[in-house]
Amino acid sequence: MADLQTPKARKRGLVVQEMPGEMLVYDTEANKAHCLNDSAAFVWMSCDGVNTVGDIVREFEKSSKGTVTEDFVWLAIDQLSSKGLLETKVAPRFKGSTRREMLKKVGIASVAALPIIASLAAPQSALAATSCNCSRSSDCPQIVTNCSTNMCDNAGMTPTFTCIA
Amino acid sequence: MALSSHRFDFVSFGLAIRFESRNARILERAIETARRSLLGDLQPSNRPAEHVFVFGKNNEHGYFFEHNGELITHHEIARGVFKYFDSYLRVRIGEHCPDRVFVHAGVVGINGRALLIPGNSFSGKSTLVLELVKRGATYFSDEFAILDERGFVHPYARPINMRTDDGRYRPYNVDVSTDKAASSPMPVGAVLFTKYAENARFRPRILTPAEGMMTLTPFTLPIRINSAYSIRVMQRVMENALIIRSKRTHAPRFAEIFLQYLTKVL
Repeated sequence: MADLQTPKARKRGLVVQEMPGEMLVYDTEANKAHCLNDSAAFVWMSCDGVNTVGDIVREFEKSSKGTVTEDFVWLAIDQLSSKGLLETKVAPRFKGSTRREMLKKVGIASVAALPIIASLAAPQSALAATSCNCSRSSDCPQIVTNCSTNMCDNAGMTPTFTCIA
Repeated sequence: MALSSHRFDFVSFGLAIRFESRNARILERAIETARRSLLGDLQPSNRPAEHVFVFGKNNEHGYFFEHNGELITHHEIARGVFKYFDSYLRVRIGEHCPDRVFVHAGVVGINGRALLIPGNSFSGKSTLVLELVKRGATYFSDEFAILDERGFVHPYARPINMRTDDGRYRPYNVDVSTDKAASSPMPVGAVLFTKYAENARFRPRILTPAEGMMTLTPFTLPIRINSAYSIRVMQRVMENALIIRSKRTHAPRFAEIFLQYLTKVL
């Protein structure tokens, strides 16, 4: 982990879909989908390993997205780093602050939508999300690979099989 | 595994598959299960198989099946194995299908546009689909939305599986002869992410396309195997659809309210 002043966006192992005002990034290694709002996407795209945080602030303002501070960019960088979207992890700037304090601090000083990244993980296996369609406990197979026991628990039955994760 | 003497090679949803067994009756049962599972989409083929399933019975395991050399499940009675095989086959085809994206979702058609209701098993999507069909929607599927590159959804109209209070399944046959079941693909008009909550009121929140794609990810079968293609298709769907999130109350009441809402907004 480093306190990098010139963060670099990770490119490897990502599928990126840009859309007007937002971006979807799918991490094929962590199997997570990230939804970046316009501000977060702009900061991420500006992290080229050369731009400093100060440069990103200037580019942000030049793009007519609003007036922001370095804390605003760091708020995006903290999230990008914790979600694994930077080449090198960056030491968090807002460590110890509550989310409310952090947003207040950055929000008051900025005239732009705060950078937000929402994430969701894909399930281990699609089988985990499906039903084995057991209608009796005797119908449950003895070995079920890559599925969860609560499939049968949910059907009100005691699972009779061993699951292999 | 000893060489199997009976084989059946076929293509389904673009995938070359082989069934093998030393026992002709067991092979026949596997084929019959697959025909039901895949709605008859089994075209005999000589293409080299990408997925080989071996079925058998022995003293160690009883009935069993393997997939590409790996023992998947075994059971003392055949029904136990084939019930699981039925689900397993659909999911594996959904994960590996080269030109379709399978999404866990109930699907109905309303005024020429499809409504997707993503959800895992036991999330109540079959109940909701049934209530929408009872109120005039066209039945597409209670299990998978099968999406193509244009963002159209294809019918996968298996009998609706309703679970009774004791956990048993009761197939509800939607009458295809009365035009309730769809026969051709339809563009997606709306996607509804919903969860049941007692006494919940319908308070729709509209999601952006990227939020919709992210929320759809956990229900998208090929997302790990074919991420780029899955995301391309998801984007095509989401950029043209109204994406709604709301809690819902009991299915019959919710179906009524939601249909009124959709008629206004679509």
